[in-house]
This record gives sequence, C-alpha cells and structure tokens, in this order.
Amino acid sequence: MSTFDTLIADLTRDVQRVQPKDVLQFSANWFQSRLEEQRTRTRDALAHRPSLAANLPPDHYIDAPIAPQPRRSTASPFTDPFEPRRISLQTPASQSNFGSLNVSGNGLFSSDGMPDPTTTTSTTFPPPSFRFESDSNPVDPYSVLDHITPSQSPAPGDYLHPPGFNVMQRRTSVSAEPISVDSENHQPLPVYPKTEDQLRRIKASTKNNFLFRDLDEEQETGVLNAMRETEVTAGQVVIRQGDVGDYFYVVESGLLHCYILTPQPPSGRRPWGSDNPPPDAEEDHPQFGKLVQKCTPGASFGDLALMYGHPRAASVVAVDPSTLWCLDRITFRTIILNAAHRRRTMYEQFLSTVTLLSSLSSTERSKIADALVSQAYEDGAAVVRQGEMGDTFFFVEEGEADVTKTHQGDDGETREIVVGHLARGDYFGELSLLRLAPRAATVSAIRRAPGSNLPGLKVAGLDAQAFTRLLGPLREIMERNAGTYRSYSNPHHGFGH
Amino acid sequence: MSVTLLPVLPRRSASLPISPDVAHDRPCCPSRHGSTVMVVADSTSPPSSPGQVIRPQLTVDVDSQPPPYSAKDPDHSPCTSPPRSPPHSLSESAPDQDMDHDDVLPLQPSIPAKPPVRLLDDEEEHIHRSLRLQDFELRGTLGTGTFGRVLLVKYRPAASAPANTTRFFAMKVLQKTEVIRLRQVEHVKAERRILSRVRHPFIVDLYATFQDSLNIYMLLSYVPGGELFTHLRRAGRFSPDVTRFYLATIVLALKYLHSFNIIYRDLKPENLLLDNRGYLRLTDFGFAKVVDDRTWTLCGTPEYLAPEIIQSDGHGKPADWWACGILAYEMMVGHPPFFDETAYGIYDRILKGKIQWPRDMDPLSRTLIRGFLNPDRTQRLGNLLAGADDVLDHPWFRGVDWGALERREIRAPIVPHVTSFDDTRHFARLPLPPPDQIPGLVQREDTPSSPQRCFDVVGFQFNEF
Repeated sequence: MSTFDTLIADLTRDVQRVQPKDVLQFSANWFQSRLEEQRTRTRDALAHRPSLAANLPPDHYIDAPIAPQPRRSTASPFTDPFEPRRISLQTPASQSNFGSLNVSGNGLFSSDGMPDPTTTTSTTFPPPSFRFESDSNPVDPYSVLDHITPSQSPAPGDYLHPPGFNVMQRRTSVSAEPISVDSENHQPLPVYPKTEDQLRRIKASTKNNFLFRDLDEEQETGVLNAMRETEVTAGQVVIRQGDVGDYFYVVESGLLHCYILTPQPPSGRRPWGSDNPPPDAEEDHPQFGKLVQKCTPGASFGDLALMYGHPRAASVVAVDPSTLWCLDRITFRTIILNAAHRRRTMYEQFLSTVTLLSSLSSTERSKIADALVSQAYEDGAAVVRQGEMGDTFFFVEEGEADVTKTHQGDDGETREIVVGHLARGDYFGELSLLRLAPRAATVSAIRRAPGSNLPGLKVAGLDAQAFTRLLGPLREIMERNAGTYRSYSNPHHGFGH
Repeated sequence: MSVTLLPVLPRRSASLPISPDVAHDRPCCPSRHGSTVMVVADSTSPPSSPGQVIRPQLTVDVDSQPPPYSAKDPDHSPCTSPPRSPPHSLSESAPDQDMDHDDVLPLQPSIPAKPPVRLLDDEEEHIHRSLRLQDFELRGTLGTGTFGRVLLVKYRPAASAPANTTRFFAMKVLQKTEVIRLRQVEHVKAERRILSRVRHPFIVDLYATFQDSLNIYMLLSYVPGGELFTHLRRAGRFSPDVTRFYLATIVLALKYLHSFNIIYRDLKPENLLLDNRGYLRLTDFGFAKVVDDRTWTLCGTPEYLAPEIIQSDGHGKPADWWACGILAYEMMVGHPPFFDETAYGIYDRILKGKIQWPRDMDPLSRTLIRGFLNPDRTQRLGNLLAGADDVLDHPWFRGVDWGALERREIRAPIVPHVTSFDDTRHFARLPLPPPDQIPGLVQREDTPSSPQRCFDVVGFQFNEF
C-alpha cells in the first residue's frame, strides 16, 4: 500500500472511531499531529544514534510510491521473515492498528537510558528510565479533540477536580473472610429484642449509610435484630486507629469523642463530615491525636468494618458512660449473604419450573435470574391487563393474585369473571418472551381481608428484551431442543396472553 | 517533589551488577548498532502464545522461559483453540472447586450447568517439580505487598546451562502466618492452582512453588518493564490509541480466563506489568477463582469494585468487565472515575454511579466506558449474549487486529528500556529482606515446617506447595 493509501485508511479509521462533528478541522489536526510525530521520531532517531542515519528505515523519510506496485502479501510478519528489523526504532505508526500512539513518555524515543532529572515530577515513583517527552513532543493527544465536542462541554465548574494526592498512590487490595452461604446448615441468627423507639432510632442513624440503604425487608430486620447492646465506661477506648475493625457501632446514649492521629497535617476533607465545628485544640487527646468528632446519640462509627477487616481510620473514646449498639461483620455479612443467596435460589427455582424455559441450562437460568425485577403491588392493583400488549413474564414471589377475564354476557353487559388464582411460585405471561401479543387476562393483587397476615402481592418480572440481550431469542434456544417447543401445547397456566 | 528521588539515581549502576555473561544470553540481539541496543525482541521474534514451539536459535524472551527446559510443551493447545476434550463433571475432577465454601448450588437442575468453554483441570500443570529453593540466589526486592514481598532471584545452575535459558525470576514470598491471619489460605491455594495451569502471552507464568517454615514461595516470570501503574502515573494519562492497545490485551486475557470460568477480581494498573517488548502481563492471581456461577466473598481493590460486590449481591465475570471500564477510564483520564479520600466515599460514589467526563473525551470512548460501567449486570458490556466477543466487536476497538495482537506482532506504545536481564530500574528500590525471614532461600533449610521453629506456631503445611 502506498503511504497515501495507508494514511487515508488510518484517517478513515480514526474518523470512524471519533466521529467528529467538524471533520475538516479534525482531519487538519490529525495530519498535523501525524507530521509532528513522524518528524520527531526521525529527529530523535538521528540525534541519539547518528550512525543510524545510513540505516534509517526508509519510511522515516521516503514515501512509498502512490502507484500501487505488485508486492508480496504482508498479512503476517511470518510470511516475510527477512524483512529488515527495526529493533529499537519505532515502526511506522501506520503499521499499528491502534493508531498513532502519540503518548508522551514513549520509551521508544529514548535510547540513552539515563533519566533526565529535570522532568521528574513525583517523589513516589522510581526514576524514569526514558526521557519524559513533554517538551520535545508537543502534541497533546487530546488537543485534536478539543475542537470536536464543544457542544458537550459542561460548565467549567463541572470539569473534573484535580484529584488529591492519595488518588495517585498505589492501592492495596482488600478481602473479607469467606462466609458460608449454604442455606442448609446455618446457625440461628442472634436476636436481641429492642423497643419500637430503639428500632426507630437505629434505623434513623443508619438510613443514609450505603451499607444499609439498599437492604430488603428481610435483611433489614435481621440486621436490626442482631445489633447487641453494649455498655462502655467513661474513658474506655472503643476503637483504636489502625486496628483491624470487626464491629460497627451506633450510639444509643452517652458521649464519645473521636480522634485522628495524623503524622502530617491532613490534606483535604476530614473523613467525619464537615458539619462539625473545628475541633478545639485543648480537647485533643495526647495519645490519639486531634478531636474530629463528638459522637452523640444517633451517631454511628466503624461502618467499613462491616465490609472487611478495614484498619480503623480513627480512635473513639467514651467521655461519659455510654450505651452502644454493636454489630460484627461476620453476623452482618451472614445475614446479607444468606438473604441474597436465598432470593437468588428462589428465582432460579421459579425459573426451573417454567416448561417454556426447560431447555435452559442452569448457567443460563442464573444469568436471567439477574434480570428479574421485583415489584410490590397494592391490593387490587393490576399487574397486567387483558388486551394490553405485554413483553414481560412474571412470577409471584409473595402474596396472591386473581386472574380475571372480561366476559360479555348474554345481555350484552361485560363482566369481570375470575378464571384463576395465583399463589407463590406461579407464573404468567411466559409466552410474551416468545412474541409480543395482547394479554389474554387481567392479573391483579387480591384484596386481603382486614387483619389477614397474608403478605401483599410481590411479583418478579422478566422482560423479553433482557432475555434476548442475555441469551438471544428464546425461540432459537428452544429450537436447540425442538421437542420441547412442540410439546408445549398444554401449558400449565393457559392465560399467558 | 523530585528531591527524594535524586539520591536514588546514582545507585542505579551500582545496585545490581550486570553479570558478564548476560551478553551471551541474547545471541540474536543484533550488534550492528552498537552495544546499547535494548534487550527487546524484534518484531519477527516468535509469539509466546502457548502453542508455539520456540525455535532454539531465536531470541529468547526474557520472561517466558523456564530455566532447565528450553521449550514449552509442544502439545499445549493455543490459547485461542476450541475445547480439546469432552467436558466432564467438575465436581468429580476438582475436589477443591468450592474454594470459598460459599458456592453451594442447592438446585438439582434438569439440565446440568453449561460447562465452561474449557476446563482448567484439562490443562497441563506446567510446574517444575525438580527445582529447589536453594537453586535460587537472592538478587533484589521488586515490591512489597499486604502479606508478602516479591524478590528478584537468579537461577544458580544456569551458569552451566545453555546460553539461551533465562536465569532471572520473580519470587513471590508470602508469609504463612499472615496468610492464615488474613484468612487467605483458600485464595493462595487457588492462585497456585490457576496460575500453574493457565498459559497465555498476557499472563505471568508460574514455574514452581516452594515452602519453608515461614513462607510459601511462587517462582514467576520476571517481567522487567515495571507496573503499568508507574508508566501511567508518569505519563499522566494515555491517548485513546495507547489505551486501546493496553485495554485490548486485557480484554484478550480476560476472555481467556473467563473461558475457564476463572474470574480475576483484581484488575488495576498495579497488577499489570510491562514485559520486555511493552506487552502487558497480568500478575497477582491472589483473588482469581474458578466460579461457575457466582461467588460471595468481597475482595478486590476499592476503586475497582463493582456495585454488586459492594452490595454483597453475589458476583461473577461481570465484575471483571466493570473493572475493565474503570481501567479504561483511569488510563484515558489519569485517575479512576470513582475516587475519594476515604474508602467509604469511594463506595458511596460507585453506588451512586455518576461518572464525570473530561470534556475532551470523545463520544465513542464514553460509550465504551459506559458499557462496562453499567450498574445493571444484565446490560453490562461483556456479559451479554456474545460475552467477550461483544467487547472485541465494539466500535471503539474497530481496526484492531486481535490475532496479531495475541501473537504479539504489533508494536507496543511503550517499550521499556532494559539493559540486562536483571535490570530492575522499573521497580522501586527496596532493601533486601532480613535473611532470617526467608530461611529456605538463604540457608539450607531441609525440612520445611520443622516444628521446633518458634515462629511456625501453626505448623501449617500447604500441601500443594
């Protein structure tokens, strides 16, 4: 391919990738950046290794002719093992299908191997083994893009804040202990009785915490039950900065102080929120450092200990005798994981009962179990209505539902006639996974008798798009197992549509 | 800021003397351009994909050659091959499948779980059992971690071995007491089991494992180019083209691992090493696990955790694709999309899911990252119908020659400058560990886990090692 053809092919590819609004400007910038890149490369190669001048690969200064010549295939480098080697010189950008790779700090630009101390900008990194090319390679890889998306530029204030220093440091991995989620043999979970008031207060102090925010009812009840009351005396150290934490605490009564010991003045935000008055220097603890927070009833601390053995970020010392609710990680995670596991098992069991889905492997069922969306319905509310177009298939997770059909009587009047009744584990609308069609009946939550302890209707829905997205069209899966499809003539629940 | 670096500089030449025979180690390195030629395999050197038999007259990759043997198993199937044996029950062949004891599937499905594309147990274990810890000489420290460190070691008998054998390796040393205290025993066993069987050009090779009374040891390839993390922080950020190169290699590595139902779970620039040609090698398989469906143990790195891991909702392969999106963003922007001074803040941001975009990031890159960073697993790129192939076919990767990439035929954007096989310039200078902490490596400690050693309170034997 001639240099021209290669360039045009590369430009075409990059234009397709970036999809610039201003193509002319993009192309102009693109050529400019390619030119600078190539000239820089040539200059560098010659400067560092003058002896190379004679051996410089021709594509660094000579274009391939435009008129295409008959030549050998270059499909694989193996087809031409005698191609001249380019050991330490950058091969032409056009040979890379990743684009121009115009990064600053490109190691190919260096050959002397000595770092340039003037370009070293960080204290935490080892010395660069190649020159940082910020000055000699003026092409900002993003500069071309500035002209492309002006309409998408947010307000200046919306631009990313320069990250703090700690985001630039190496990050360590974290890991919790394995917890058995085998629902068969788990020990009974601890239950510490609490008054309504106490429960309300604990709920209020944890409601904004991400660890508690998205718990379902079962998980929340389990967690609240498991919180244990503990008394601390004045002066007692509840948690110590740097220790690996195992417990989360909510203050029921009393007063505790929270201190952070920092070897250097802390940079940036304090981890304990900004709505507290600046700490009084006289209140600082000689051993534990600066007072950063006073924990009064309703406050909570140590939440990350519920995820993994996270080193405590602060020390907390009781000032007055105090009462705390505490919860340990193993209990918390056992409750959360068991409930999550149980729900998944239930979904997978539901799915395994559907005749239409019997050709799915358990891996496939598990995949679509992720797509089930749970929703609760008020008494009398309709999940699907007769005649509406439907593309969602439902299970009854909890509660009960009535199936009704509009019936035109002899007198011409239309009446709702109950044709069926659905309870936990029943499903309906499964044929909508095969084709979009009007619902054959209405399904609505039953009206529970006052005082009934039957739970309200909760259904899990799976829509056809999600199914197709994850597994492809159901029809094709069934054709894998063609017998199933034909035998599906007498469905268990015939009111799918 | 550069002040503390300066004292380091003069030590470079003195810290690790280059043995005089290094030059013989690379007989194919051309000498016509003088003696300062980089130890870089040229574009016609053989790819190190598993199926390739390395012809002995060619340049040897610094980091892919086991010491006493000069060629890889020729029968080993290439990494892109179809399954090569009929699937059989995982539970029969792999008693340690439930490594975290948390993956019990109570269902008795009428149709068995679809087996992975390949079974890890069908892969030959490429561990050299004849090696001993005493065969290695301590040459430096490459890094320290939560419960161990990585050392640079030299294979002693190599002096008399053929010239084209590699003699430098990375030795990962894990303190048994810490492994047990941090309850990582199952993770360490899984790391050995997986690394000893997988073989891919973009994954670090494990050659042997050992133990003494204090530690377990894993002999790994020495990948001399340092962490991608170092190069990324130095460059600030990468252009989309450079990002595309690195991300493409990661996508191939993940596709390979996922084909065994292995999830990696700790993707981040710190765990990606640049080899002598500038290609990435995935390292640190401490959290890798064979997971047929999902697993529940929270692990990873805060900035890279997927929402379903934080929420303890059970996680699997999709969590790796999420991390892939974080990595893509971090490479193109210079920092991860969700960051905060505190771990709590990071998790809160991940769950809120708001991504801030630099105004100069092009729309297609945003589409790709949004595809990975979809909190809904059922809509996440990589987890849909075609799996990893959806990623390969994403328009952002348009034009990438995946085959050539896997054969390592494409020029890498950064080729680390390395002058010898034991050049450690791309790693932090760290002191050597005290000899009494690595008894098996510095002395002749014949019986591992000898009970009289007071440190070995648990007397724990890792039977696999």
